[in-house]
Amino acid sequence: MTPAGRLIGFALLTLALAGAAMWITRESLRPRESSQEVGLRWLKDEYHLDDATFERVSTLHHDYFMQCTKMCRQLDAADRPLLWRARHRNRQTGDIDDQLSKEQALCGDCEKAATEHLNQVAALMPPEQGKRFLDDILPILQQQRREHDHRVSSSIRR
Amino acid sequence: MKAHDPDPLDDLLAQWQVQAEAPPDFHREVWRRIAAETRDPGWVERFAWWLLRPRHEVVILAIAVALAVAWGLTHPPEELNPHDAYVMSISPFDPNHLGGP
Repeated sequence: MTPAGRLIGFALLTLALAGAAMWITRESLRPRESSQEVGLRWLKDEYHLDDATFERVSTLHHDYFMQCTKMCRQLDAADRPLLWRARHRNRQTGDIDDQLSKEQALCGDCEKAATEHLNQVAALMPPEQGKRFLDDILPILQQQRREHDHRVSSSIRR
Repeated sequence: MKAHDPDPLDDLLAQWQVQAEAPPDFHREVWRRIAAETRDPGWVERFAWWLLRPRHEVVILAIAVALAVAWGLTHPPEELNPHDAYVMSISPFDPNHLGGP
């Protein structure tokens, strides 16, 4: 092997080892908590939930999380053909309208289920905290719904 | 020509003895000519020869790994914002709900 070839090989080996060392170091520092656990811990601290209330909120949350994940998968499946419409221009407009109305109905169900869950959580809190909780989270949920709808409709118009 | 055919030159070559002696500076002259024909190594070769000694290689690798670990320690992965984590876990419209940690 020529000296230049050996030099390049050594540089690549050094980069690979350094990259692996950096990745391992960062991964070892990554928090092990799931987003659910982080979120619930925040809820307990932010709204000063006692242990009994937190227990009930956690149970509600875990039950709802399963339902929410199922809804997300259904939404994802309903959105995919609409978001990919640009790649299938030969499809009939009627198909798109049908899919869009089904998707919107599903979105409505998802939003309703999420709102109900948030109301149930708020009902477990002292009234003032419950109101503060709903004032914080509900607008975000509604905003995310609007952004979702905008993403789907702009994909269809494209 | 067949292998067993005698060649008239064979006997003649067998009797031939070289009488000449090499000049006293023969070896030095050979090396001088070889040196004159060899080009000087470029900076890449000189650098590679210097760098690619086992001890230098080990030191450089150790320094690179130590720097990478130090960078990793000073740039830990971003922590999830707890508020966003809660929204992510309850909103079916959150883009990270399915792919979230």
